[in-house]
Amino acid sequence: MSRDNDRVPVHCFQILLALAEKDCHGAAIVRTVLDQTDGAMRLWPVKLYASLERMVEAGTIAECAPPIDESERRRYYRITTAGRRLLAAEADRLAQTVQLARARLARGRS
Amino acid sequence: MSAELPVVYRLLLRVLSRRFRDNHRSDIEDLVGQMRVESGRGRLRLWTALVWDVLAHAPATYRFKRRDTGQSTREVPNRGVGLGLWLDMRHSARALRRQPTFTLVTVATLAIGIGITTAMFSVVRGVLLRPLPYTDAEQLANVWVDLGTGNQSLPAVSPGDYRDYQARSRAFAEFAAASGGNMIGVSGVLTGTAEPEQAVVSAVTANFFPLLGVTPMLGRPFVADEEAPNGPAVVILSERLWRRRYGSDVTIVGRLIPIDGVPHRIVAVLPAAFHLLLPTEAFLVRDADLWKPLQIDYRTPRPRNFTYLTVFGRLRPLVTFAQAQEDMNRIANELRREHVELDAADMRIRVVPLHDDVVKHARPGLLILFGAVAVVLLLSCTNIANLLLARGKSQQRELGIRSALGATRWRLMRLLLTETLLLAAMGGVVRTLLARGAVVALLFAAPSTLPRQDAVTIDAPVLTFAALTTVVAALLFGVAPAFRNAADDVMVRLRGSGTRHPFLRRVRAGDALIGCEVVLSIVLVVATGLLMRSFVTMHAIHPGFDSDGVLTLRLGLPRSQYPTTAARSDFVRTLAERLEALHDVTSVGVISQLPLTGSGPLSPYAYDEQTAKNWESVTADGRPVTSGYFRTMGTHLIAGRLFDDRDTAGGPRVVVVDTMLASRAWPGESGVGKYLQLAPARSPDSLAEVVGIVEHTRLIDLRQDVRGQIYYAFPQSAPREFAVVVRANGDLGPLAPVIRELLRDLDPALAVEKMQPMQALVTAGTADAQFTLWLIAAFAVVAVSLAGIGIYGVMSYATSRRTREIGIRLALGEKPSRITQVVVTDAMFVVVPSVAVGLAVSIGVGRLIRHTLYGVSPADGVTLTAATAVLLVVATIGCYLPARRATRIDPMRALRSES
Repeated sequence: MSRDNDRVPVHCFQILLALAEKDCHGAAIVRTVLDQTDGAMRLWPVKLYASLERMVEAGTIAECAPPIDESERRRYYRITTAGRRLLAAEADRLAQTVQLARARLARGRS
Repeated sequence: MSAELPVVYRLLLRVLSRRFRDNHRSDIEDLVGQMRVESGRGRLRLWTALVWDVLAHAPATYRFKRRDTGQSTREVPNRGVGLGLWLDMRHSARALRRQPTFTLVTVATLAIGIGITTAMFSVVRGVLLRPLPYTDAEQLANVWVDLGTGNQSLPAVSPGDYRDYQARSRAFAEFAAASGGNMIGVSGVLTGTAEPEQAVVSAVTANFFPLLGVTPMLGRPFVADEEAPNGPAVVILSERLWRRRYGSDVTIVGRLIPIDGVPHRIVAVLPAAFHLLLPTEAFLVRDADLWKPLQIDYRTPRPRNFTYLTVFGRLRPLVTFAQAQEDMNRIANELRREHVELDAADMRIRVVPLHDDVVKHARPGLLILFGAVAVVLLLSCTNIANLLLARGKSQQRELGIRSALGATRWRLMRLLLTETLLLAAMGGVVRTLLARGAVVALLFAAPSTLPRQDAVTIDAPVLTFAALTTVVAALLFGVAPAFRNAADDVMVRLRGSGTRHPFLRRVRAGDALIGCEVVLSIVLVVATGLLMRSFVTMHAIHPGFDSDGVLTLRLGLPRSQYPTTAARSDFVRTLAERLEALHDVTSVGVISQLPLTGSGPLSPYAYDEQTAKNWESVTADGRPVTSGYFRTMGTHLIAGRLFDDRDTAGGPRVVVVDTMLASRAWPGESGVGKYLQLAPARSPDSLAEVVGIVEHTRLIDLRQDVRGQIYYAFPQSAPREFAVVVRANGDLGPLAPVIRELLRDLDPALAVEKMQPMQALVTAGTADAQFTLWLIAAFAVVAVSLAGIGIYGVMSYATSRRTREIGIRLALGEKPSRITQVVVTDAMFVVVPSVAVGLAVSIGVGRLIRHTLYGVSPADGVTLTAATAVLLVVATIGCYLPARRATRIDPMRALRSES
């Protein structure tokens, strides 16, 4: 998934984005992704944890200890340095795509 | 947070890899719990999405990175086959989702076919196959006695014979006997604090309930001492009566209640589940509310042909019914040697398994319906095969690519089979829901004469049956197309849709399917037609009475207040006078037992030397009636006179007989003024003069004449229990309370039982025929529709394969109507021979069901013609619509089309 020339799947991108700000547990990731996509993307449980597992394998995120005030037994995840790099690269790529799209649209209109 | 997840979802999670489950179960549970709380979606949508989530991502959970080598690998479930199947399943699920119409039609067809079959099977199983609700019910037998070489065959035994069975039988462990309350002089009028009530009374021997394996819910069964003549006045209550009249009082055992004004001690209450299941011919004993001990006085011997006991026997372990029959034959031989009256009547004993006896009348109807349902199932399967076949053709290209890439034939088959099984599974779920609904509907529509309705449930065996049917149907109709597809050459597949079909070349498999559908559905249509004509014929026949505008009710006079014939006869005369005085009432009559309420007591008679010598060789239905009975029921007098004031208790004995008896006894003569001998010994007392002859009444079965009839003058033999018939102008409804009021006025202790219009009895008498008819008609409609849809499907597919050629023909100037005509004619080459085959099969089937038919031959011309017409019309429509559509296309587009 994270091999250099691979595109990052949309839901993985959104998960990375959700974790970029703070460490989260699964349910919080679902809620954040739902918010940041204006309700367009809902991550269903098996899909979420299957993706999280593969991202941990790929080294873009890692499991971490829950915050001290958290008494529950949930698993928390944080973004790794590699993950941040990937997120930035993907954001750049998307930005370029957006730029290209805008330019073409502008030219098409004129 | 985590509310308990539904079992189904938790089970579903088991398809995920074990490692994944172990790692994330609690997280997933939390998340799902939260979604259930938050989700603004409908619950159905939420769960659909959740289920899809599990199924779609399950394969991904089997993949993980080995920590030691860093290589990505797979966790291998179920030795490698599992994942392949998973992938197949996923592939199939996606493929089916992409073709929602196909999926929907297939699943619906499968669900309807198997749903109806499942429902019908659960009824057949409940009624015919499940053992009766008694301990070791398969050992229970009912004893029938034939007298007069088949003239009387009833489950009725004389007390003397009953005692001899017990003493002599080697095959039976035990016998128990039961009889009606009137045989022990109890009519069952309950008085006391509540409203007087007429309860049904039966009398049983002390070992009766133990023999069936029934233990009272409260109290104890009867004991042997209570069987002694003039023994203690004790009674056992049914749970129904105990709950209704005594408010489920658990301390009721030991209390005294007045029955016919005599205090009786309650010794037990039976369990709620207990029902006495009896063959319809058992005429005295009934499933009662009051059970009294049967106190038989053996000291005063009665003639052995005075049979009034219903006798059940329990076979010794390992004894077969054939052995038991042999044993009883031996006893019958001995008894005939010892008793002249049994010898004269050539008495025979028959041992009938109780279960067979109870359900024998329901069996033919249910089996016919089951056959009809099987036809519907076959039609559904045929249609599905048709759909799969057509789909298989369109998948050829895909399969060709797969096999070119190295997929083995087995691999392709597996893919197709997975798809079929997935369809079957979906159909299965819908089917189960449908079957539940159908069972409820069936039981709602079922006549009350259908025995054992409480035994009908959808339980494990029924569901197993359904699952097996589904899988077998799916495999049969999924494998065939799969084989067909797998057998094709790779190159042919790759060319796929490019294959050319010459015009008029029909799809052979399609022909076979059309043929099957026509044959199957015509059989059902013919069966429906035959049953419908039987039903109409049955209703058109005058049964010897006119039930319109007649209200009936039953009355029982307690022996204590009306001890003599004269007292009862006086009461009836007063009652008739008072009733006739009512507004709107035109006439009133009384009879010992109404028509269509089962067999009643039989009267042996003799009209010449021969019949006098072989006493009981001829018997008739004997019914005491008042003179008003015939007038009220509209039974026509053929010759002589009806009863009148001359026929008093002290006067000469007179009878009225029916035409059936008269023509047997005095063929070619009038019969009026002749004498009938009504007792075995010839004495002046035993002779009765025939004063009138009335038309034959169908007393027992609307479908057939059973026996001749002898009507006694009511004042000369007034029974304690009888029925009153009232003919009135206008609505019968408002009359009922008036009659009740009048009776209360006449004697407040009397209880009125079963006040209902005569028409209700007639309807009930034909209810089973009506039930079978409506259901089979419904099945026939489903069958014809399925056949129509099937033909339409095959023809649509066939014409779509010819689009290009039709286009060429249109472009060359052929008229669309001509093309339509060719297509339809073409199909008729298959349909017409199939109709012929179908008709031949129908006649065979008609012979199988001829016992259920009435007044119509299995090869009834009208029915066969009508069925042919229906099928031809449906088939023509099925062909015409696709043909017409094919001619509507733009020729240019047709030419460009690949096929």
